[in-house]
Amino acid sequence: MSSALPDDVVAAAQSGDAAAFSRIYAALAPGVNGYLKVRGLEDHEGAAQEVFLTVFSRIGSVHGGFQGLRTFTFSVAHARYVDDVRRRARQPQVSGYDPDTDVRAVDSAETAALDALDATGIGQQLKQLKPEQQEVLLLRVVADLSLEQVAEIMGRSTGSIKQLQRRALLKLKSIVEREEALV
Amino acid sequence: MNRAVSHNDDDVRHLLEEAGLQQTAPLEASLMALRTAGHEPMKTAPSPELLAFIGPAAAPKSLPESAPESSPVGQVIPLHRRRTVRGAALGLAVVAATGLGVSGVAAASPEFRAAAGTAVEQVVGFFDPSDDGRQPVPTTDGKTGESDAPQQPAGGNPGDSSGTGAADHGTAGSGTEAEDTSGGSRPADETGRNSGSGNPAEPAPLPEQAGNGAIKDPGSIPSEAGDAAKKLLEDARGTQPSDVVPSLPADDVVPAPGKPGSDVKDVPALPKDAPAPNQ
Repeated sequence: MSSALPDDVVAAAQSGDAAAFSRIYAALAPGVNGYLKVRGLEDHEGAAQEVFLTVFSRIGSVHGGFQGLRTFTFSVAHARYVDDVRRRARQPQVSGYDPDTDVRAVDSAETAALDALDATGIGQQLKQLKPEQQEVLLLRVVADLSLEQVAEIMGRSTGSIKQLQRRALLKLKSIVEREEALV
Repeated sequence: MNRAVSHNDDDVRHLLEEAGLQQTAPLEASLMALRTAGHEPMKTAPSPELLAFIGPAAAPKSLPESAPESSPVGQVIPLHRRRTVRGAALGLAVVAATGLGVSGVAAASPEFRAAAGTAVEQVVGFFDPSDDGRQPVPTTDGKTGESDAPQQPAGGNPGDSSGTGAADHGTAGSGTEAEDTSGGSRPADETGRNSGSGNPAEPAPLPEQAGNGAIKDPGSIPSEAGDAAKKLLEDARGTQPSDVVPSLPADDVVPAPGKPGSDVKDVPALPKDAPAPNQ
C-alpha cells in the first residue's frame, strides 16, 4: 500500500489547510488517474481533476480517516466512469467511416485505452475478462483498495467481491499461461 | 519494471494468497504491469479551480511547474432561439391552411354553404331567443335605419310591424288613441294592405316616404293610408269618445296615388324643414 497518509491530514484538510489538500492530491491523484485511464476515459486527467474537485468540496462529510477518504475518492471516480459510459452511449462520437478502423463491434474508447497497455500485454488480457471482473481487479490492484472498500464502491457484498476476484484471477492466470505456452 | 515488481511484490502476493491461488511468475508479472500502468503520475497541472483548494504555494512538487494555461473557454454568448417567431409563423400557416381548406370545400359543394347558413342561424337563435331563430334580423336598404324606423311593439311580429306603419300613416297627428289601436294585435292583412309597402314581411317604410307624423294637418294626407287610418278610427269609435278623434276628409276630396280617377302618381315629398317623426 503506497502513498498512505496519516488521518490528521484529512482533519487538517477538513479545517481548510491548503497543504493538506496538496498532500492528499499528490497521494491519490496517480491512482485515480490510472484507474480512469485503464477504464477508457478519453480525458482521464481532466476527469481525475474533476473527481478531486468533488472530493475537496465534500471533504467535510468524510469519515474514517485516510482510508475513508480513499474509499470516497474512488467512489467518486467510479461514478465518474459510469457517467462517462452513459454519456458515450447517448452521444456517440461522429467520425468519417473507415473500414480499416471500424471498431464498432467493441467498446471503442475503452478498447483504445486498453490497447495502449498492449506493450505489456495486460490490455489484451484484461479485455478477455468480464466487466465486473475487470472492475474488481482494477480497484484492488490499481486503487489499492481492500475487499470491503471495493464491495462498498460496487454495491455488493464482500463475499461476492471475493468470488469475483478469485474468478478474475483464475481466468487471468489461464490466459497468461496459455500465452506463455504459445510463446 | 523489475524495480516496480520488487517494490510492490508484497501487495500482489497478498492478493494472490487472498484469492487462494498459487503464485506464478507470469501471473505476477501481469498484475505488476497493471499496477504500474495505473500509477503513472499526472502530466497536467491542476486546474485553476483545483488550485483554489490546493493553493499555488502548496501545489505538489511532483507536478510540472509550468503555469496553468489560461482557460481556453471564452465568454459564453447564449443563443437566443426564436421560439416566439417560429410559433407565430407556424400558427399563421396552420390558420391559413385551414381557411383555404374550408373555403375550398365551401366552393365545391353548395350543400356546405346551406348547412353553414343553417348552423349560423341556429347559433344566432341560441344567443338571441327573441327571434326564436326562425327568421334572421331584417335587413333593409341604406335608407332604413334603426333610429329612423318607428318603434315596434315588443310582442309584434313582422306583419304587425307593417300594419303599425300603415296605421301611423293614417293617424298622423291624430292623438294617442290611434297609436294604441295600431299597436294592438290587428292582423297585417287588415291594416297593412293599403300601406303601399305591399309585402307584410318587409320592414316599415321610411317616415319621410310615407309622411308618418310629419304632416300636422289630417286633411292634407294624400295617401291611401288614410283608408286604413279611417278604419282604425271607426274601430276606435266604439271604445273612444268621438270628439277625441278628428274627422277625416272624404275620399273624393283627398287625392291619392293608385286611386281610381286620381292623377297623383307618387307620394309627395315632405317639406325639408319638417320635424323628424320621432322628435
